[in-house]
Amino acid sequence: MKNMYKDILILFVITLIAGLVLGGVNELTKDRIAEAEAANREKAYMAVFSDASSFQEMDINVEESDYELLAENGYDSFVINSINKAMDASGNELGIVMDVTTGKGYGGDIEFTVGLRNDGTLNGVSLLEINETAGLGMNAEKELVPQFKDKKADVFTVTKTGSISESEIDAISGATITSNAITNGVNACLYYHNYIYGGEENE
Amino acid sequence: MNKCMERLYNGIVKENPTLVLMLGMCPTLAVTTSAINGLGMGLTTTVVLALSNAIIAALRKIIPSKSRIPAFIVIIASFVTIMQLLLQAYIPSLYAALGIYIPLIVVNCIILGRAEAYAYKNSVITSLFDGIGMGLGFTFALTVIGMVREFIGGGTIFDIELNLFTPVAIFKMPPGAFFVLALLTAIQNAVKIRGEKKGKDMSKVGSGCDGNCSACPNADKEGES
Repeated sequence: MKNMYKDILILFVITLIAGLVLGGVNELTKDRIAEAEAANREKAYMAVFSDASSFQEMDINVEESDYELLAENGYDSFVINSINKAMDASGNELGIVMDVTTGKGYGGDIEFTVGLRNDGTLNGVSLLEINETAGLGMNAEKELVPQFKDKKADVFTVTKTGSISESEIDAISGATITSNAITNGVNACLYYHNYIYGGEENE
Repeated sequence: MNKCMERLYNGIVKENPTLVLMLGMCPTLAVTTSAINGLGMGLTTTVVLALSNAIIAALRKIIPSKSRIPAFIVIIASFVTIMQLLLQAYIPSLYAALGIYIPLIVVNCIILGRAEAYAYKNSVITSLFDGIGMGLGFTFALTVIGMVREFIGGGTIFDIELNLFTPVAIFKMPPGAFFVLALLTAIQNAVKIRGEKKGKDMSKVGSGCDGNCSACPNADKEGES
Protein backbone atom coordinates (compact mmCIF):
# COMPACT_ATOMS: atom_id res chain seq x y z
CA MET A 1 0.00 0.00 0.00
CA LYS A 2 2.75 2.39 1.00
CA ASN A 3 4.58 1.63 -2.25
CA MET A 4 1.53 2.45 -4.31
CA TYR A 5 1.31 5.95 -2.83
CA LYS A 6 5.02 6.44 -3.47
CA ASP A 7 4.59 5.38 -7.13
CA ILE A 8 1.65 7.73 -7.54
CA LEU A 9 3.60 10.60 -6.00
CA ILE A 10 6.62 10.05 -8.27
CA LEU A 11 4.49 9.90 -11.39
CA PHE A 12 2.64 13.01 -10.23
CA VAL A 13 5.91 14.92 -9.73
CA ILE A 14 7.21 13.87 -13.18
CA THR A 15 3.95 15.01 -14.78
CA LEU A 16 4.00 18.26 -12.84
CA ILE A 17 7.57 19.09 -13.91
CA ALA A 18 6.77 18.19 -17.52
CA GLY A 19 3.73 20.45 -17.39
CA LEU A 20 5.74 23.36 -16.00
CA VAL A 21 8.49 22.96 -18.61
CA LEU A 22 5.89 22.83 -21.41
CA GLY A 23 4.21 25.93 -20.06
CA GLY A 24 7.56 27.73 -20.07
CA VAL A 25 8.42 26.70 -23.63
CA ASN A 26 4.93 27.67 -24.80
CA GLU A 27 5.35 31.08 -23.17
CA LEU A 28 8.74 31.57 -24.87
CA THR A 29 7.60 30.57 -28.37
CA LYS A 30 4.03 31.96 -28.25
CA ASP A 31 4.81 35.43 -29.62
CA ARG A 32 7.17 34.11 -32.23
CA ILE A 33 4.56 31.61 -33.50
CA ALA A 34 1.83 34.28 -33.57
CA GLU A 35 4.20 36.56 -35.51
CA ALA A 36 5.01 33.81 -38.00
CA GLU A 37 1.32 33.10 -38.45
CA ALA A 38 0.40 36.75 -38.94
CA ALA A 39 3.20 37.17 -41.49
CA ASN A 40 2.01 34.01 -43.21
CA ARG A 41 -1.56 35.35 -43.37
CA GLU A 42 -0.43 38.69 -44.76
CA LYS A 43 1.66 36.83 -47.34
CA ALA A 44 -1.33 34.68 -48.32
CA TYR A 45 -3.45 37.82 -48.80
CA MET A 46 -0.73 39.45 -50.89
CA ALA A 47 -0.27 36.27 -52.92
CA VAL A 48 -3.85 36.41 -54.14
CA PHE A 49 -3.95 40.19 -54.55
CA SER A 50 -0.47 41.43 -55.41
CA ASP A 51 -1.66 44.84 -56.64
CA ALA A 52 -3.46 45.66 -53.39
CA SER A 53 -1.62 47.66 -50.76
CA SER A 54 -3.83 47.12 -47.74
CA PHE A 55 -6.51 44.79 -46.49
CA GLN A 56 -9.42 45.58 -44.22
CA GLU A 57 -11.60 42.99 -42.59
CA MET A 58 -15.23 43.43 -43.60
CA ASP A 59 -18.06 43.26 -41.13
CA ILE A 60 -20.02 40.48 -42.76
CA ASN A 61 -21.85 37.99 -40.62
CA VAL A 62 -22.24 34.72 -42.41
CA GLU A 63 -25.66 33.49 -41.30
CA GLU A 64 -26.60 29.91 -40.58
CA SER A 65 -29.07 30.14 -43.49
CA ASP A 66 -26.20 31.09 -45.83
CA TYR A 67 -24.36 27.91 -44.88
CA GLU A 68 -27.53 25.92 -45.45
CA LEU A 69 -27.84 27.45 -48.90
CA LEU A 70 -24.18 26.64 -49.64
CA ALA A 71 -24.65 23.06 -48.43
CA GLU A 72 -27.71 22.66 -50.65
CA ASN A 73 -25.54 23.52 -53.62
CA GLY A 74 -22.97 20.89 -52.73
CA TYR A 75 -20.66 23.15 -50.74
CA ASP A 76 -20.88 21.51 -47.33
CA SER A 77 -18.08 21.31 -44.70
CA PHE A 78 -17.15 24.82 -45.74
CA VAL A 79 -16.46 27.66 -43.33
CA ILE A 80 -15.77 31.32 -44.08
CA ASN A 81 -13.22 32.60 -41.55
CA SER A 82 -13.09 36.19 -42.72
CA ILE A 83 -13.77 38.39 -45.69
CA ASN A 84 -11.33 41.23 -46.32
CA LYS A 85 -11.54 44.21 -48.62
CA ALA A 86 -8.48 44.57 -50.84
CA MET A 87 -7.65 48.23 -51.48
CA ASP A 88 -5.02 49.99 -53.56
CA ALA A 89 -2.84 52.85 -52.29
CA SER A 90 -5.54 55.50 -52.86
CA GLY A 91 -8.21 53.51 -51.05
CA ASN A 92 -10.15 52.16 -54.04
CA GLU A 93 -11.73 48.79 -53.51
CA LEU A 94 -10.25 46.26 -55.92
CA GLY A 95 -12.05 43.18 -54.71
CA ILE A 96 -12.19 40.84 -51.75
CA VAL A 97 -9.96 38.24 -50.16
CA MET A 98 -11.84 35.37 -48.56
CA ASP A 99 -10.14 33.29 -45.88
CA VAL A 100 -11.92 29.94 -45.86
CA THR A 101 -11.61 26.39 -44.54
CA THR A 102 -12.85 23.23 -46.20
CA GLY A 103 -13.19 20.01 -44.25
CA LYS A 104 -13.08 17.79 -47.30
CA GLY A 105 -9.32 17.23 -47.43
CA TYR A 106 -7.77 13.78 -47.16
CA GLY A 107 -5.92 14.76 -43.99
CA GLY A 108 -8.58 17.01 -42.46
CA ASP A 109 -9.12 20.75 -42.79
CA ILE A 110 -7.49 22.81 -45.51
CA GLU A 111 -7.41 26.56 -44.95
CA PHE A 112 -6.76 28.87 -47.87
CA THR A 113 -7.36 32.36 -49.19
CA VAL A 114 -9.14 33.25 -52.40
CA GLY A 115 -8.77 36.63 -54.11
CA LEU A 116 -11.75 37.81 -56.16
CA ARG A 117 -11.89 40.96 -58.27
CA ASN A 118 -15.05 43.08 -58.32
CA ASP A 119 -16.11 41.56 -61.64
CA GLY A 120 -15.84 38.03 -60.26
CA THR A 121 -12.47 37.16 -61.83
CA LEU A 122 -10.52 34.73 -59.68
CA ASN A 123 -7.24 36.42 -58.92
CA GLY A 124 -5.57 33.50 -57.21
CA VAL A 125 -5.58 30.96 -54.41
CA SER A 126 -3.06 30.57 -51.62
CA LEU A 127 -2.87 27.76 -49.07
CA LEU A 128 -2.56 28.64 -45.39
CA GLU A 129 -2.86 25.34 -43.61
CA ILE A 130 -2.79 21.92 -45.19
CA ASN A 131 -2.09 18.50 -43.70
CA GLU A 132 -2.31 16.26 -46.73
CA THR A 133 -0.01 13.34 -47.56
CA ALA A 134 3.57 14.50 -48.08
CA GLY A 135 4.59 14.21 -51.73
CA LEU A 136 1.01 13.76 -52.97
CA GLY A 137 -1.68 16.08 -51.61
CA MET A 138 1.07 18.36 -50.30
CA ASN A 139 1.96 19.09 -53.93
CA ALA A 140 -1.22 21.19 -54.12
CA GLU A 141 0.88 24.32 -53.56
CA LYS A 142 2.96 23.83 -56.70
CA GLU A 143 0.58 21.83 -58.91
CA LEU A 144 -2.93 22.99 -58.11
CA VAL A 145 -2.60 26.59 -56.93
CA PRO A 146 -1.06 28.04 -60.14
CA GLN A 147 -4.01 26.71 -62.15
CA PHE A 148 -6.43 29.06 -60.39
CA LYS A 149 -4.52 32.20 -61.28
CA ASP A 150 -6.40 34.90 -63.23
CA LYS A 151 -9.34 32.84 -64.35
CA LYS A 152 -12.97 33.64 -64.87
CA ALA A 153 -15.51 30.88 -64.50
CA ASP A 154 -18.70 30.25 -62.57
CA VAL A 155 -17.76 26.72 -61.56
CA PHE A 156 -14.44 24.89 -61.80
CA THR A 157 -14.38 21.18 -62.50
CA VAL A 158 -11.57 18.72 -61.78
CA THR A 159 -10.40 16.61 -64.71
CA LYS A 160 -7.95 13.74 -64.94
CA THR A 161 -7.62 13.77 -68.72
CA GLY A 162 -5.91 17.12 -69.20
CA SER A 163 -7.51 20.52 -68.92
CA ILE A 164 -8.87 21.87 -72.21
CA SER A 165 -10.86 24.89 -71.08
CA GLU A 166 -10.44 27.74 -68.63
CA SER A 167 -12.80 26.18 -66.10
CA GLU A 168 -11.10 22.79 -65.98
CA ILE A 169 -8.49 22.05 -63.34
CA ASP A 170 -5.99 19.19 -63.71
CA ALA A 171 -6.15 16.87 -60.70
CA ILE A 172 -2.89 16.22 -58.83
CA SER A 173 -1.89 12.68 -59.74
CA GLY A 174 -2.52 10.42 -56.74
CA ALA A 175 -4.37 13.10 -54.81
CA THR A 176 -7.84 13.38 -56.31
CA ILE A 177 -9.47 14.01 -52.93
CA THR A 178 -7.20 16.99 -52.25
CA SER A 179 -7.82 18.38 -55.74
CA ASN A 180 -11.58 18.00 -55.32
CA ALA A 181 -11.55 19.55 -51.83
CA ILE A 182 -9.71 22.71 -52.90
CA THR A 183 -11.69 23.10 -56.13
CA ASN A 184 -14.96 22.63 -54.21
CA GLY A 185 -13.85 25.32 -51.73
CA VAL A 186 -12.97 27.73 -54.54
CA ASN A 187 -16.35 27.10 -56.16
CA ALA A 188 -18.07 27.80 -52.84
CA CYS A 189 -16.25 31.17 -52.68
CA LEU A 190 -17.36 32.02 -56.22
CA TYR A 191 -20.91 31.03 -55.35
CA TYR A 192 -20.91 33.11 -52.18
CA HIS A 193 -19.35 36.11 -53.93
CA ASN A 194 -22.04 35.91 -56.58
CA TYR A 195 -24.66 35.58 -53.83
CA ILE A 196 -23.68 38.68 -51.86
CA TYR A 197 -22.83 40.83 -54.86
CA GLY A 198 -25.84 39.54 -56.77
CA GLY A 199 -24.18 39.33 -60.16
CA GLU A 200 -24.17 43.11 -60.55
CA GLU A 201 -21.74 42.95 -63.42
CA ASN A 202 -24.54 41.57 -65.60
CA GLU A 203 -26.86 44.51 -65.09
CA MET B 1 36.24 1.17 -29.49
CA ASN B 2 34.94 2.77 -26.35
CA LYS B 3 31.43 2.38 -25.08
CA CYS B 4 29.99 5.54 -26.62
CA MET B 5 31.37 4.85 -30.11
CA GLU B 6 30.11 1.28 -29.79
CA ARG B 7 26.60 2.65 -29.14
CA LEU B 8 26.76 4.92 -32.20
CA TYR B 9 27.94 2.04 -34.40
CA ASN B 10 25.28 -0.23 -32.94
CA GLY B 11 22.50 2.23 -33.80
CA ILE B 12 23.67 3.14 -37.27
CA VAL B 13 24.81 -0.27 -38.60
CA LYS B 14 24.45 -3.27 -36.35
CA GLU B 15 20.95 -2.70 -35.02
CA ASN B 16 19.76 -0.08 -37.48
CA PRO B 17 16.20 0.56 -36.21
CA THR B 18 14.67 0.64 -39.67
CA LEU B 19 16.63 -1.86 -41.76
CA VAL B 20 17.47 -4.41 -39.06
CA LEU B 21 15.09 -4.03 -36.12
CA MET B 22 12.11 -3.03 -38.33
CA LEU B 23 10.88 -0.50 -35.80
CA GLY B 24 9.05 2.75 -36.43
CA MET B 25 7.61 1.57 -39.73
CA CYS B 26 4.71 4.05 -39.75
CA PRO B 27 6.73 7.26 -40.12
CA THR B 28 9.25 5.41 -42.29
CA LEU B 29 6.66 4.51 -44.88
CA ALA B 30 4.68 7.72 -44.59
CA VAL B 31 7.15 10.60 -44.73
CA THR B 32 9.82 9.25 -47.09
CA THR B 33 8.24 10.67 -50.24
CA SER B 34 11.24 12.97 -50.57
CA ALA B 35 14.79 12.95 -49.25
CA ILE B 36 14.43 16.25 -47.40
CA ASN B 37 11.29 15.05 -45.58
CA GLY B 38 13.10 11.88 -44.50
CA LEU B 39 16.08 13.89 -43.28
CA GLY B 40 13.90 16.38 -41.36
CA MET B 41 11.84 13.66 -39.73
CA GLY B 42 14.99 11.66 -38.88
CA LEU B 43 16.80 14.58 -37.26
CA THR B 44 13.72 15.67 -35.28
CA THR B 45 13.33 12.11 -34.01
CA THR B 46 17.07 11.96 -33.19
CA VAL B 47 16.82 15.01 -30.91
CA VAL B 48 13.76 13.63 -29.11
CA LEU B 49 15.35 10.18 -28.84
CA ALA B 50 18.67 11.42 -27.45
CA LEU B 51 17.08 13.78 -24.90
CA SER B 52 14.40 11.38 -23.70
CA ASN B 53 16.97 8.57 -23.42
CA ALA B 54 19.22 10.82 -21.30
CA ILE B 55 16.41 11.96 -18.99
CA ILE B 56 15.01 8.45 -18.58
CA ALA B 57 18.50 7.12 -17.78
CA ALA B 58 18.98 9.90 -15.23
CA LEU B 59 15.66 9.07 -13.57
CA ARG B 60 15.98 5.29 -13.87
CA LYS B 61 16.47 4.79 -10.15
CA ILE B 62 13.54 7.07 -9.29
CA ILE B 63 10.93 5.88 -11.80
CA PRO B 64 9.10 2.93 -10.20
CA SER B 65 9.07 -0.13 -12.47
CA LYS B 66 5.31 -0.59 -12.08
CA SER B 67 4.46 2.80 -13.51
CA ARG B 68 7.45 3.21 -15.83
CA ILE B 69 5.48 3.19 -19.12
CA PRO B 70 3.30 6.22 -18.26
CA ALA B 71 6.40 8.00 -16.94
CA PHE B 72 8.29 7.30 -20.22
CA ILE B 73 5.37 8.49 -22.31
CA VAL B 74 5.05 11.74 -20.32
CA ILE B 75 8.77 12.46 -20.82
CA ILE B 76 8.74 11.55 -24.54
CA ALA B 77 5.54 13.48 -25.22
CA SER B 78 6.95 16.55 -23.48
CA PHE B 79 10.08 16.55 -25.65
CA VAL B 80 7.99 16.06 -28.80
CA THR B 81 5.77 19.00 -27.87
CA ILE B 82 8.82 21.16 -27.15
CA MET B 83 10.30 20.22 -30.56
CA GLN B 84 6.96 20.95 -32.21
CA LEU B 85 6.72 24.43 -30.67
CA LEU B 86 10.36 25.22 -31.54
CA LEU B 87 9.95 24.06 -35.15
CA GLN B 88 6.73 26.04 -35.49
CA ALA B 89 8.45 29.16 -34.20
CA TYR B 90 11.83 28.92 -35.91
CA ILE B 91 11.60 26.57 -38.93
CA PRO B 92 7.96 26.94 -40.04
CA SER B 93 8.71 25.48 -43.50
CA LEU B 94 9.84 22.14 -42.03
CA TYR B 95 6.93 22.26 -39.59
CA ALA B 96 4.52 22.68 -42.50
CA ALA B 97 6.16 19.89 -44.51
CA LEU B 98 6.08 17.33 -41.69
CA GLY B 99 2.60 18.29 -40.48
CA ILE B 100 0.84 15.55 -38.55
CA TYR B 101 3.97 13.37 -38.31
CA ILE B 102 5.61 15.53 -35.65
CA PRO B 103 3.04 14.77 -32.92
CA LEU B 104 3.15 11.15 -34.08
CA ILE B 105 6.81 10.90 -33.00
CA VAL B 106 5.35 10.29 -29.52
CA VAL B 107 4.10 6.89 -30.59
CA ASN B 108 7.20 6.00 -32.61
CA CYS B 109 8.10 2.63 -31.11
CA ILE B 110 11.86 3.23 -31.53
CA ILE B 111 11.73 5.84 -28.77
CA LEU B 112 9.70 3.83 -26.28
CA GLY B 113 11.65 0.73 -27.37
CA ARG B 114 15.04 2.30 -26.56
CA ALA B 115 13.71 3.67 -23.26
CA GLU B 116 12.62 0.16 -22.27
CA ALA B 117 15.49 -1.85 -23.71
CA TYR B 118 18.40 0.44 -23.00
CA ALA B 119 17.97 3.76 -21.20
CA TYR B 120 16.11 2.32 -18.20
CA LYS B 121 19.06 0.01 -17.45
CA ASN B 122 22.12 2.07 -18.38
CA SER B 123 23.97 5.25 -17.52
CA VAL B 124 23.11 8.72 -18.78
CA ILE B 125 26.09 9.13 -21.13
CA THR B 126 25.82 5.76 -22.87
CA SER B 127 22.03 6.20 -23.13
CA LEU B 128 22.52 9.60 -24.73
CA PHE B 129 24.87 8.05 -27.31
CA ASP B 130 22.50 5.12 -27.79
CA GLY B 131 19.78 7.64 -28.63
CA ILE B 132 22.03 9.58 -31.02
CA GLY B 133 23.19 6.36 -32.70
CA MET B 134 19.68 4.98 -33.11
CA GLY B 135 18.47 8.38 -34.29
CA LEU B 136 21.22 8.70 -36.88
CA GLY B 137 20.54 5.14 -38.08
CA PHE B 138 16.88 6.07 -38.45
CA THR B 139 17.82 9.33 -40.22
CA PHE B 140 20.19 7.50 -42.57
CA ALA B 141 17.59 4.88 -43.52
CA LEU B 142 14.83 7.47 -44.00
CA THR B 143 17.02 9.74 -46.11
CA VAL B 144 18.12 6.87 -48.36
CA ILE B 145 14.55 5.57 -48.78
CA GLY B 146 13.42 9.14 -49.47
CA MET B 147 16.20 9.65 -52.04
CA VAL B 148 15.35 6.47 -53.95
CA ARG B 149 11.62 7.21 -53.91
CA GLU B 150 12.09 10.83 -54.91
CA PHE B 151 14.51 9.86 -57.70
CA ILE B 152 12.37 7.12 -59.25
CA GLY B 153 8.99 8.66 -58.40
CA GLY B 154 9.67 12.29 -59.19
CA GLY B 155 12.95 12.46 -61.10
CA THR B 156 14.56 14.74 -58.52
CA ILE B 157 17.04 14.40 -55.65
CA PHE B 158 16.79 16.93 -52.82
CA ASP B 159 14.45 18.89 -55.11
CA ILE B 160 17.13 19.22 -57.82
CA GLU B 161 15.59 18.48 -61.22
CA LEU B 162 17.43 15.76 -63.12
CA ASN B 163 14.96 14.96 -65.94
CA LEU B 164 16.64 11.69 -66.84
CA PHE B 165 13.46 9.68 -67.46
CA THR B 166 9.71 9.76 -67.04
CA PRO B 167 9.05 9.47 -63.29
CA VAL B 168 7.30 6.32 -62.05
CA ALA B 169 4.67 7.94 -59.84
CA ILE B 170 3.86 4.77 -57.86
CA PHE B 171 7.17 5.16 -56.01
CA LYS B 172 5.82 8.33 -54.40
CA MET B 173 2.69 6.49 -53.27
CA PRO B 174 2.43 4.06 -50.33
CA PRO B 175 3.23 0.89 -52.37
CA GLY B 176 6.51 2.49 -53.46
CA ALA B 177 7.52 2.87 -49.82
CA PHE B 178 7.17 -0.89 -49.30
CA PHE B 179 9.11 -1.70 -52.49
CA VAL B 180 12.05 0.52 -51.57
CA LEU B 181 12.14 -0.57 -47.92
CA ALA B 182 12.09 -4.26 -48.93
CA LEU B 183 14.80 -3.67 -51.52
CA LEU B 184 17.12 -1.87 -49.11
CA THR B 185 16.62 -4.51 -46.42
CA ALA B 186 17.36 -7.24 -48.97
CA ILE B 187 20.55 -5.49 -50.11
CA GLN B 188 21.65 -5.06 -46.49
CA ASN B 189 21.10 -8.79 -45.82
CA ALA B 190 22.72 -9.85 -49.11
CA VAL B 191 25.90 -7.93 -48.31
CA LYS B 192 26.18 -9.55 -44.91
CA ILE B 193 25.40 -13.09 -46.15
CA ARG B 194 27.82 -12.82 -49.07
CA GLY B 195 30.50 -11.64 -46.71
CA GLU B 196 29.95 -14.66 -44.50
CA LYS B 197 30.11 -17.08 -47.44
CA LYS B 198 33.44 -15.70 -48.49
CA GLY B 199 34.61 -16.63 -45.04
CA LYS B 200 35.15 -13.10 -43.86
CA ASP B 201 34.55 -12.47 -40.23
CA MET B 202 31.25 -10.65 -40.42
CA SER B 203 30.68 -10.68 -36.69
CA LYS B 204 32.44 -7.34 -36.65
CA VAL B 205 29.91 -5.82 -39.03
CA GLY B 206 27.18 -7.87 -37.48
CA SER B 207 23.53 -7.57 -38.24
CA GLY B 208 22.00 -7.89 -34.82
CA CYS B 209 19.99 -10.73 -36.29
CA ASP B 210 21.35 -13.97 -37.69
CA GLY B 211 17.88 -15.39 -38.27
CA ASN B 212 18.13 -17.76 -35.32
CA CYS B 213 15.76 -16.46 -32.69
CA SER B 214 16.37 -19.11 -30.05
CA ALA B 215 20.09 -18.41 -29.98
CA CYS B 216 19.64 -14.64 -29.98
CA PRO B 217 21.03 -12.94 -26.87
CA ASN B 218 18.57 -10.09 -27.41
CA ALA B 219 15.46 -12.29 -27.56
CA ASP B 220 15.27 -12.87 -23.84
CA LYS B 221 16.24 -9.36 -22.84
CA GLU B 222 13.78 -7.57 -25.08
CA GLY B 223 11.06 -10.19 -24.94
CA GLU B 224 10.73 -9.93 -21.22
CA SER B 225 10.55 -6.22 -20.89
